[in-house]
Amino acid sequence: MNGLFTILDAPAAPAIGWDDLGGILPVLVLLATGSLALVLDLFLKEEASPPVPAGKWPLSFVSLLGTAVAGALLCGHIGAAGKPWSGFLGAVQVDLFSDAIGLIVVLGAAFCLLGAGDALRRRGIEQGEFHALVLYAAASMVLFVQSASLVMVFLSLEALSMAVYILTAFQRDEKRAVEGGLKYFVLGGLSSGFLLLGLAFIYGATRSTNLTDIAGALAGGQPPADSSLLVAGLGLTLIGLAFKVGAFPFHAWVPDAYEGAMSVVTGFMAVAVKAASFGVLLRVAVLFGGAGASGPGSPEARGALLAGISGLAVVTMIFGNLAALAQSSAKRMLAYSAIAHTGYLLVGAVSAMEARPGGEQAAGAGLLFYLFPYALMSLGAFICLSHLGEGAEDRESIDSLRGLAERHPAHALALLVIMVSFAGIPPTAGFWGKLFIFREAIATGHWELALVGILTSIVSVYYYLRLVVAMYMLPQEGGLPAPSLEARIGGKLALAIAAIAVVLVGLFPGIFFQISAACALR
Amino acid sequence: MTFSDGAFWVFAATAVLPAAGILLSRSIVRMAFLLLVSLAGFAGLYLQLGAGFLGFTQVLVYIGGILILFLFGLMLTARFDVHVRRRVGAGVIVPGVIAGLSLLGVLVFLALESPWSTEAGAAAAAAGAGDTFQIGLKVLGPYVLPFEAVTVLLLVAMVGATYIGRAQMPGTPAEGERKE
Amino acid sequence: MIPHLSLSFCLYVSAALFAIGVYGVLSRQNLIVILMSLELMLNAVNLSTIAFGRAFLPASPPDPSGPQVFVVMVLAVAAAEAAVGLSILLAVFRKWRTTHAGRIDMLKG
Repeated sequence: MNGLFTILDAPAAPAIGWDDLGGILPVLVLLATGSLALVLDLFLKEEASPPVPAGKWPLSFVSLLGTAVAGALLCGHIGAAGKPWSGFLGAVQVDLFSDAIGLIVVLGAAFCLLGAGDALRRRGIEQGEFHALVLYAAASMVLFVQSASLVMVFLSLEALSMAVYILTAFQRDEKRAVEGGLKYFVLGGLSSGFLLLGLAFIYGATRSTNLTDIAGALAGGQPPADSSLLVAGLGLTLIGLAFKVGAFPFHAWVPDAYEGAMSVVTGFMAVAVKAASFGVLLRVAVLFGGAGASGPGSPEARGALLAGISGLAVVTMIFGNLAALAQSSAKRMLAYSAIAHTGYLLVGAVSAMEARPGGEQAAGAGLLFYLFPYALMSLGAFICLSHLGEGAEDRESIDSLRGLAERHPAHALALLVIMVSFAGIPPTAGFWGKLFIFREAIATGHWELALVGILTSIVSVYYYLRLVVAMYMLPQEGGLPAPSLEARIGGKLALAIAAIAVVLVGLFPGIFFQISAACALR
Repeated sequence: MTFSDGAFWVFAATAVLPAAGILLSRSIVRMAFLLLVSLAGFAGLYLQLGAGFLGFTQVLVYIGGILILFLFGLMLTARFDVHVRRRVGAGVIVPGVIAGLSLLGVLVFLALESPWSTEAGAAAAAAGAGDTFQIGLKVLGPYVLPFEAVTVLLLVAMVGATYIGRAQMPGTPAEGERKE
Repeated sequence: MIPHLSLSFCLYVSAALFAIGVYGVLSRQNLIVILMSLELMLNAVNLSTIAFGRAFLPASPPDPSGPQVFVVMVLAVAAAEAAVGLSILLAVFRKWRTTHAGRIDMLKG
């Protein structure tokens, strides 16, 4: 190991070397690109009038290049099926699971940046800060999933949260954006407090800040120093993470932040924040509550986590779907549907905690598989709303989408594919995702979760198809101006990729499921 | 760092009572100063617990930095809303209740079965466990990546706060706001 | 040496302060007070972290100055949170001319 930092006077002090930096290379690429975008912005001319067709295209180009490189690195690592690697003296653990989640995060960032060019230009706020913050947030999210110590979990979560608060309020002259950012900030700060207290309790109960050490001690049958404290700590940690993924009853910020933010940012939040938080949630759940080969060291912790996560899953599925029924704004409807999908993902987390019947220890394959089409659908839907917008407004209400099929048939078709997939109608990607999640749940004995999931999915068909009906069957209302979309290449590209990928995953689910199973937590 | 029991009680009271006072006070400026006293109490507690470096950092960062930031925020904005009402929103009671209940549970359990004694701790503390030198080694050792994560966090906060905060000064209303 | 300095007692102090912070965040309407309450919550947790670290010393100190390092980093987080919070507060004030959360209710919530 080539010593970057060798500690003087400390004999046998382990050194941190280039290997460690190489291990987190995707993170470094994202950080460097973000800073580059920030500096690049200084050299780009401010155009006089907002609707300049090309705008500051180098910003988008450079930041997209950064996400492409980071994504390629993560793909390469998955392709090479590398062994789990722990670096920075145990601060991070890089494995295929973190790579897969990282890939979804980077995908979210790339789509957000693709659509952001014209969304920002229309509003006259095309600033390097946006690109930088998206990339910093993505970097923090990848670090968050890779965290192997409680310290890293908290710090990277805070870094990503700060970036996302700002992105929510990025349209700083718009009341709704500022209000959404404010609510997100206050409730996010509250949840960070709970999470931090939970982490402190876990540290108090296990006397270690390193998740790998804790897992080793528990798996070795060594009970924690104080298991009631451990249960309380895990409970508080779960509350903190439930806030971040927007599970009921910790969802209060979701509709407002999702509605207030620009649609491209909403897509990024719905996908990247959720994927990263679920990555950590799953890691913590499997670590402390999993029925692994060696068995949990603390049965109380396992019981509490199972009960907590399944309870959250049930109420979140029911609440999210019912609340989505009542919405008249497509964006708010999608926000509540994002809550509902959090519920389905929580079902995946529950079955990940159970032992595999076949002796296979891969946990969370269903959840990982679900995340991928969910990411594509959410990104596609929110980017479509942004893409059809005009000026500072995105196309948000369901009524404003009436007659879309006549005026923009391609957009309507893409949105149709996405909505059908959201609803889980076979043979779309969303259908396979739900199928795998519910099949896992039944196989691990949680048939009641699968039942609630299936029933609420049937309810969800109604509100997703309402959007389709508006687009295809209702006449256009009033004289809403049809924006000319010729110049908006980025959003068009993103929407096309999302819709085609949703179809592809729907046609060939086997390949993607195999990849998810290979990347699952071990 | 060995003070007497009395000092510990005094610091604990200094931390808790002003914090409770914040809830009862109706003037924001008074609240800010109560927070100052409370944070100073925390610093004292850290010193008592053998975390000397942290105690002084607390004074520098919190009292010297964050609180000043708060006072700036206060002076920039609080011209109209100096008095504060109290109201619990219905939608946010649930997390509060859950947190309160779990805290209560932990407290009860801890009070019943606290397995730790801290008597020998002082000796270890005196041996330099909480030394600034040790902290320095940690920051460049196992905590080097967390340290870098903090730098990313601060960078994000800096970029974001300057962006959000810089549009117009509070004195000049934004477009469309003049009629209010 | 300091017999009353038991872990439980520190945790009581910490829990009281955390509860005050949570109550403040949930019940107060003024955004600056909400920010102060968030800071109180973080401080309360810091106190428990340090108390835990201290309580482990007699047994086998796995990481003697670790808690202090962690808490110093949490201080940095608190500073960042204050900065971001106050910038959002300024943006709110620009738009509404108030820092009173109850009057900021465009979204349905």
